[in-house]
Amino acid sequence: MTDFAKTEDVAVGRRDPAEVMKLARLGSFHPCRLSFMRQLTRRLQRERWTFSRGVFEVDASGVGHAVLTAHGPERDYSLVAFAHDLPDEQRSDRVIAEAWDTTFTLFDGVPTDADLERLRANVPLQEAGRITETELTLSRANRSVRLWEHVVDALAAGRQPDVARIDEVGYLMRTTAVYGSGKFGAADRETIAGRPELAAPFQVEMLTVYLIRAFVRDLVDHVAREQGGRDAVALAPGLARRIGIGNSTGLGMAPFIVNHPRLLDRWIGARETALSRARNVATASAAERDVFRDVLERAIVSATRWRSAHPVQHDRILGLRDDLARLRSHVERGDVLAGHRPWDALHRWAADALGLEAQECLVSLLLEPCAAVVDGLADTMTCDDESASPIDGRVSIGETRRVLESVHGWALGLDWGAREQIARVWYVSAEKLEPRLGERFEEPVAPYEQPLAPVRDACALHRALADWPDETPVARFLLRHPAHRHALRRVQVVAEAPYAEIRDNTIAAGLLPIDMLRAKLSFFGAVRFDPRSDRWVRICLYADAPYPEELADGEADFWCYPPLDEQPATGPVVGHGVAAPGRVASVADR
Amino acid sequence: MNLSLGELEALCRKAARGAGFDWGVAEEAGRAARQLSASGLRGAELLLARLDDRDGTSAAPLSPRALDGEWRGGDGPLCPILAGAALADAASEIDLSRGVLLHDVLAPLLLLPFAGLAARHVERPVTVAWADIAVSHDGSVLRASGDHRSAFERRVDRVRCRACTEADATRHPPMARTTRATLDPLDLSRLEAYAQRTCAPATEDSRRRGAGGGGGSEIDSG
Repeated sequence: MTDFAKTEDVAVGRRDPAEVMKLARLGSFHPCRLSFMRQLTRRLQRERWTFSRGVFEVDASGVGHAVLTAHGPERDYSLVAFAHDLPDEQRSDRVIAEAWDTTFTLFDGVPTDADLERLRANVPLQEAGRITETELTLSRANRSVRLWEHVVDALAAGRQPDVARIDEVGYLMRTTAVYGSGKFGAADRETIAGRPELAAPFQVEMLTVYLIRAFVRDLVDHVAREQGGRDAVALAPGLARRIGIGNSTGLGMAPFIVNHPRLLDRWIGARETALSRARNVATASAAERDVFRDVLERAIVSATRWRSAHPVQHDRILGLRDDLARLRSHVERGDVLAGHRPWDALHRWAADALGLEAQECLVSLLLEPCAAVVDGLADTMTCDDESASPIDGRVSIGETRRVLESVHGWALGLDWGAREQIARVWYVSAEKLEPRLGERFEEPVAPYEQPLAPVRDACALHRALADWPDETPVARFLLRHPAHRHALRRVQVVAEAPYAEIRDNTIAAGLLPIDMLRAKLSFFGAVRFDPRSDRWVRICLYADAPYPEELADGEADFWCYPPLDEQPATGPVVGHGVAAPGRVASVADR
Repeated sequence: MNLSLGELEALCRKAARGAGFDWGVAEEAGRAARQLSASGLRGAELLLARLDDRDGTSAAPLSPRALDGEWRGGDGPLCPILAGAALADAASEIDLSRGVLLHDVLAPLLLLPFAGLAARHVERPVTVAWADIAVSHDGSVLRASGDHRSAFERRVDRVRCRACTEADATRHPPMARTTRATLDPLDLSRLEAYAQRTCAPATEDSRRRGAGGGGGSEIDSG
């Protein structure tokens, strides 16, 4: 097993997985420099990607299609968007729906007319259609009806929309799915993972959403212009930037981090390595201290814009606001950042002084001044051989037992017959084909249980091994006990990937699935995590990010912290060339 | 129907589970079907035939009883997924230079992906041979002699698995790789029927509880 404390030749090692991999902490993660959206926007700017709108054929009612192409150094990727006229009563956040306001695919290259015809017959059907190896994602989005109508009405009447109403919702449209990785016929990840621009996790999904945001901005301008005619104005860039893309995420995402243990280890491991490197920085320059103070102030603004009616998250946000104020006072008091290993000192202080939400926020903040030692870790966050994790049958029972006790020792003494430990069942419903969480003792779902309780299964494996001699290879055990094959594979994964396993019981009565969602969403870079129940959340993606035409000269990295000058742009509006096909923006044009 | 290999693997994993395999074995079945399909072999169809063999029988095809030189299932034929997993697990323990003889095996092509895992352990290609067909796997590349494309045998008396030399293996050309699989609609629907068995029928109670939450499930790929 990897010794996490010695992975790097540094005085402060990575944090103990037993501390990090608790759901309460994972459920407090914030986006950071390594988040996949920031990796994408940094790359787009660094490599001077350009963007063009090949097609924008949308009628006055907002029905039609558009093609928005991102031109990279070696390849092009095109968002193909279909806009529909969806009656209000059909608008649903459920992943299983039959109609949406807009549907999308990310096409590998620039589609021909024949491609567009094929896609028109399939993409609007979403799961009921088929896409092919030239498509990388399949997605859809619905309007936020109240913000959409407010923005269209205002722009059509020649006014800018109300900034408070924009901030209250945060997005004009929210996606209810962004499928990639071979789903519904799309290209498998392994066929594109060798491309440098797509090597990092979820880059096609993140690019899809980035382009959707630009399309939605263009669409709202277009519809307002069609309604308002000569009176209409375009959405002011400063207001447009505040608007992100919403996303509704339910239980479907929770199994992902259990089903991809090696990948989870890479993500968490990269962040923990980044933290350890930051904590080992001997001194912070004045410029680096300024970076930290700046992002702290902006994080405080972000926390004031973060709203949730969910009782747990509501209290966490209040706690975060208090804690960030406390952090600011602490930093302002004298020489905290001027001493030896300033980020380590701050991190240690926070462990006692702040709640989990603010502790993990601080982890993200103190990575910001340390880009030089952090950003290279982005290249370590992929794992494309997850499903090919072969079992090593030579490993001894004794070694297996040792790993089980080291990783799951905390759980071996639990009473796994007690109802509260096994209250829940993860299953997939035949009706909706959605992952669900059922009640083992109240519903007849146990026969359909998915293997999403790794701690329980590890403890069962440990019991099954009890009578086997230490020196026996596990191959012998598996021959007799194929039922433990899944759990044994996970033991071998966690033996070399210390952050692969959640150190909590994922079927306990008190489980909050939203903690699992939050952990994953933070790596995407999602903000304004707003649980609508214990089981699903709304989030916002790309709020405050530069649009494609702003990217070359814009803030491609720190956009995820809102700007400190919070005054909305209300002055004369500069349009952004909405209706005419042609180049939206180009570094080369400037 | 043209499928991505990821779709095919997920479908086969669920179908294997639906037909009664333990999850960890079903994972092997899905991976094996995918790997065969990536070499243009009919991995999903072979697995489907295996699931049909298994389905509804109380005496399910078996693991080898012991890991000596000759493997038998005992009361019935050897299951290629279970026997294959045993081959990969025990590759370093058994004498693959001499080879093992498997008696009465179902769908022996399904052993190949496991021969590939065994090859990585012993750092030599491993050949799976029966009748006049021999297919070698060096851990990444499959090479065949004989008419392996018609080798859709559902049951074979004797199959030999043995490590061979690089020179032996490379006498035959590598099989072409593909990134897609084509499945007959009928086979697809039958695999889906097995996969569907892993899903719980909805109850009024679960609907009322809103077990799925109410939100969508999104950006869910990896």
